[in-house]
Amino acid sequence: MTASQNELDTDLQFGPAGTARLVLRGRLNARTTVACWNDLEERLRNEKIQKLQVDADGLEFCDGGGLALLRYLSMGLMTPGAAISIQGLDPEMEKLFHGFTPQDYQAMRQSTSMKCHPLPEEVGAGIRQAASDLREQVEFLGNVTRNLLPTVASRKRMRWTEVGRVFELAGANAVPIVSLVSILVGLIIAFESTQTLAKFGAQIYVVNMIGIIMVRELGPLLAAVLLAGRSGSAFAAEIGMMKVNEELDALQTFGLDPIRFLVVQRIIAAILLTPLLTVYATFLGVTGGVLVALGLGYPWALIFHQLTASLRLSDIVFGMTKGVAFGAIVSAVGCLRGLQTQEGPSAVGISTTRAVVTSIVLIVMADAVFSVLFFVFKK
Amino acid sequence: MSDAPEIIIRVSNLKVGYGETVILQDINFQVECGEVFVILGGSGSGKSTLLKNLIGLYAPLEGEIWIEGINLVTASGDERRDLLKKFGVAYQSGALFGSMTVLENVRLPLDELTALPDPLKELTALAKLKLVGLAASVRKMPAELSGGMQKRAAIARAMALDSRILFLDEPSAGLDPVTAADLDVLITELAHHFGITFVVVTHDLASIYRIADRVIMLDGRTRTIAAEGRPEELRDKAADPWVRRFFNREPDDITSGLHL
Repeated sequence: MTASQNELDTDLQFGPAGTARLVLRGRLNARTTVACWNDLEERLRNEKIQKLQVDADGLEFCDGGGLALLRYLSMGLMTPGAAISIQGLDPEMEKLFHGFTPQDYQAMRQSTSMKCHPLPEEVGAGIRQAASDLREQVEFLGNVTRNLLPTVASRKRMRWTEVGRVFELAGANAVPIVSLVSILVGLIIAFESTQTLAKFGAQIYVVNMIGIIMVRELGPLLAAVLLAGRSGSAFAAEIGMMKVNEELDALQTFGLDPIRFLVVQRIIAAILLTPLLTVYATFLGVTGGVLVALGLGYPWALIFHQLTASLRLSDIVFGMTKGVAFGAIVSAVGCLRGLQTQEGPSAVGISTTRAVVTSIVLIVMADAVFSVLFFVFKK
Repeated sequence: MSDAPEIIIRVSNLKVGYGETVILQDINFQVECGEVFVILGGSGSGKSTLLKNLIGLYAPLEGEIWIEGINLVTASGDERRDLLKKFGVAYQSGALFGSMTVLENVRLPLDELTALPDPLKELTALAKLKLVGLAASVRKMPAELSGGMQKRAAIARAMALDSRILFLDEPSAGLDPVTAADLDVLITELAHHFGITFVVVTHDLASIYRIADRVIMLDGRTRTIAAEGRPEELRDKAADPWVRRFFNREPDDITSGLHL
């Protein structure tokens, strides 16, 4: 039977006692190889072939895919157990064909660099990694503490222009996104709450609620989370790239400590800017709640009275204190992850992801600690 | 019947640049089938810009680039897609995908651009890796390979679709002399045994003497081709003394390396 595929003729004939002869004529290229494969798969699938002879005398052209088909046939993968012979390849094709043998195929398929480790070994490696990570964090904290005061005290070593640059990038440039998110969060919380408060005729208390929530909790939290997503990741990427490009090595060979030269400036800038961002985020969040109250028809004077009655100075101080702590956490984690950047193309990406995730986890944990402290001191 | 060599690439009156800035102009050359053709030039002479125009990453400001009888500049969408499959490119850094193994990198063009059955894709990719001497590294990640091995893997990937033309950008950059020489041997063997046409951008003179059948030398000052020919001819007989100095590794006519 002859299967014509324009450029390739495939003639497969079955003989007695499980013998078969395949004659290929024409061009075995990307297109005809696929058609030939499908044809042979279908026709050889249910046959019990003992001996297959492939006659490639009429083959004018054979690309890499075509050679792969011949190699696949020659290894008996389409006719298991059969003795296969391939004849008539022209010398160039023959050289290419024998350049990749079944032994090569087996050896290359078995080669691997990814070893599977047993579960206890994986768990042990994980614990060791976590312990090493913890040690690095403690060392980093110690280094930062040791360097912070001497650097801040020295005008020359502090590099205030760098602090100003980071302040602008992480603070001033973050104002639009902080504005949008804060006012929307304030609006959403107030809007959702009024529907429940309306059942009790207590809609005016939405102002008290949004005031307390934004000043004590959401203001600092929103500012810190946005700072983590926007600037913590940028710190990690920036320092990570410097590590990959050996800029940190260059600093060290000058005798300059990267903590003093790069990290302290970022932490100081974050500590200075986060309270300001916190106040700004709080103000806009409360504004969102006030807009809802105005929409409900309450007068300005009443809204202002409710706000001032519900908030105390300690709430505002408490919120700003949290902001300072969150700023320190975000900047320190961002810098630490940057310094921990490994080699390889995905290393900086991994560092930025780790910076954001660790920052948010630590911010929430610190927030929980602050809430308990506030409760204790309030008593 | 004519014995004239088949012209596989023809570049006519090419002007390349960025926006208003012209980097090279009046570029005319032809590449014969199966030869190793080197584009040479000093730093900033426009070698890489010319390469990026030849492989269709940038559009030239003027001129024509004919590859296998199709003008890349004016080709329609389908023609252009077909043409892009006809040549492979190995970048200076290797540009292997870091999240894939070496085998997966070489298989990628076969997976995305052919309808071959999976076993044949794997066999084809393995055969290419064997050809470039990476039989023992197929399951490794690119980060686990040395610079020379990454470039070999990049060449294997560029050859995955059996391209008749391979463009190589600075293949010997960052390699030690022995590894660079090994790579040169691979290039000449692929060209002479399998008829693959190579267009190589480089400024490594040692490599050029080993691999080049013909060279064009770009001159950043005049923004055009300063000389064309075999490397030995250019070294000994080039009309432009600057070209001869370049090939003989002689510094410019200055009295001191310090610009005092």
